[in-house]
Amino acid sequence: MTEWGPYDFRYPHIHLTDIKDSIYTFVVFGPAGSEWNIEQSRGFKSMSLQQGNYQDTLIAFRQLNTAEISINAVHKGSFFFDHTGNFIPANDSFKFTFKRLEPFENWITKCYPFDDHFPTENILQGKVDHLNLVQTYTSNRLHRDWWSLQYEKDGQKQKTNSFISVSQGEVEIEPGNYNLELYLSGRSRVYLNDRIVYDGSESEQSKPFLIPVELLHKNNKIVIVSANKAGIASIHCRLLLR
Amino acid sequence: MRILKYLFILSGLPGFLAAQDRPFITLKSGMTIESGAFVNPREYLCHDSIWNTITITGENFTLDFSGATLWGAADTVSPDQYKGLAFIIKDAKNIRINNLRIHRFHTAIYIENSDGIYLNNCDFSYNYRPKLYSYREHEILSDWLSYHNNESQQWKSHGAAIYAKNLKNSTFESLRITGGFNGILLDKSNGNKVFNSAINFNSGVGIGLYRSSNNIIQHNRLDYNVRGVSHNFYRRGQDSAGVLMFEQCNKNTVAYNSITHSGDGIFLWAGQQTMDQGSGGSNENMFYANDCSYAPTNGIEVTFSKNYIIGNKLNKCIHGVWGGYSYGSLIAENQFYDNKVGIAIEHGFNNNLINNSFSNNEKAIRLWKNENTIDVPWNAFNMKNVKQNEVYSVWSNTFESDKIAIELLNGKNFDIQYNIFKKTPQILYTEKVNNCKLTFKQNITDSISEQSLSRSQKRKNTSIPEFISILDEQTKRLIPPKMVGDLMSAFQCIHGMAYLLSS
Repeated sequence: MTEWGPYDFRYPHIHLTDIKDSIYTFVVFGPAGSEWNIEQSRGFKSMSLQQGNYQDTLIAFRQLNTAEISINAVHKGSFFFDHTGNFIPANDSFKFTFKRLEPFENWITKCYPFDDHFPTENILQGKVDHLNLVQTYTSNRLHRDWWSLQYEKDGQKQKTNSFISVSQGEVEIEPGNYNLELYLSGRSRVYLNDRIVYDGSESEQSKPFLIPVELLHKNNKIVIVSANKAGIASIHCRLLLR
Repeated sequence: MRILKYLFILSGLPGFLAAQDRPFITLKSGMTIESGAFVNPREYLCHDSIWNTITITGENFTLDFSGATLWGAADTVSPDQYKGLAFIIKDAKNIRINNLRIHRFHTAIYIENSDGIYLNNCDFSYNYRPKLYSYREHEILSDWLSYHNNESQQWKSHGAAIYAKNLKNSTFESLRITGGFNGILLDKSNGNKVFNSAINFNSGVGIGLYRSSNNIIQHNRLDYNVRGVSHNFYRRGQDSAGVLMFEQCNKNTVAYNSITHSGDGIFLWAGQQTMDQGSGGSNENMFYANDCSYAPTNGIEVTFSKNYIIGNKLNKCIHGVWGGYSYGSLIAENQFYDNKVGIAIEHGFNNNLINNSFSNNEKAIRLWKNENTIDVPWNAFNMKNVKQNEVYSVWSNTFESDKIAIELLNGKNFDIQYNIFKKTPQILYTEKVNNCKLTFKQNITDSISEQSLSRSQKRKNTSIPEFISILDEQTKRLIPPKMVGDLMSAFQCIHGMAYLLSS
């Protein structure tokens, strides 16, 4: 799959198949009988191939001190149609890229049952000490879906559709300009380094959206407060290259 | 012989002369075409200025576009920004359209209130497609599709290569639709044919039907109409499908298609009307000799309806067939290999599972019922239908190397006869079937033990399975593996024929 749907194996494409520790395995797909070569890469110490044929497996060894990884390659060989139906003639120097941002992140998400009232300003500021903490999750990426919040109380399984979640993340990345991709259900507010960067509700955003951000320091703090009533709830936040 | 040759040449003359009468036209924004023509086969860059939809209407003519290509957007525009409708065909009858190419529009062709439209050798690839937000490690729920309601033509806003409403007796042949969202969407359209077309690598549905009946979908490539899949991370499908039939679609035939790697291969739902009123459904559709393998979810999903699933390949899916609330259906002569579950049916009744071949599935057949179904949204369907005697006939199937051949949970009436079990560690697994009528006889196996016919592991030691006592002598007899192999084909053949004759 690509962001535009199923990949049809006809145009050049670098596909990440596996990550094991710092070893990344890719397959370079493209029109049969043609070749590719790598012009530039970032975030890798070394690679098993610098050029090859399509369907070749490329193994790359990650350099751990950079968040951005990228591979820029050039196609050499037969004609093809790209993903928009554009005809690329044979031997045209067509460039294709793999890009991914992998900042060092640590997230802790805490959940509190909450009645059906609209969240107060205090709650949207993450002041939830008066609420009953029932569930805590830690992760190195923030992506979580709920089909109602389930927890245990006095040895009994409980579930509720109305709850507040407060996610706090430490994000380590090179200073620069990025996009913050968010997908949040319910009524939510997002703070980046104690500054509000999003304050809205699900009805305004039915799909993930981007907020351009400038990060001035290597260490950053993101806090997301979200109040949900519908049972089905999502929190998703990641930094993307701009 | 020479006379025959001249006659053959002369027979083509009227058509040739008629073709010479057709004018040669160049397409213009917003024009209406009401008679036959050859179209200037150039590339029309419709995005260079304001482009209004071209209308085709009238009767009894042929439009040969000769390869004319309409581009709705520049190559710098991303696919989720494609806009506009290239052609509308309305109030038309017996019109033939050949050799047309339309790309980068929101919808290539919209057809309304028409009869006998013939689209041949056209390419409607690379039209609108929404961006997908799910990524390698996680799916994003906003990528899920919903085709459940089209009463107000909601599907039209999704974008498609062809959207047809009130279209009948029409034929779509040799079309190519790839790199888009939806291929062909038929709304209240009956008696149409789609064949010899390649509708693949789209991110929604290949062919979608809504309140559409008596259509034939045959000999098409409908592979990779899919989204929501990431190898080793998630296999959701997000309600994408090769063929989708929602809301009172009856007596359609889907045969001889390759529908591999699509979200569901075929996805059928009775419809909201059935959920609300308990009646109707998408019934008596025939799914014959399709390859619906490699679906990330279900090879064929059919729910709340009565259908015929015969001779299909359903391999390497999560469920070969998901048949929730199916009734009176025939699932026969299909091949199920390496699925999580071959046939999974919850709350079904009067279904016949005959002469199928199962191998290497985690569970070949799983039939079950939940105890409490009062609070479900489809309770109207339950109230009307579940009182019936829930008979399942599982006859003349072969099972080989499936971990569990047949799992029964909480049903009423199972008739399991004439099946062959080979290298199957557990032939029958049952739970909560104390009050059920279970007929298990005339089956053959290469090995049998109490373990292979055990009830739930939890209950095994508390009561002796009742059905052991109704096993007949023939079933209990150990038969050497070689003999089973020899018997298998003959056995299947005899009982398959017997079934067909009796029905």
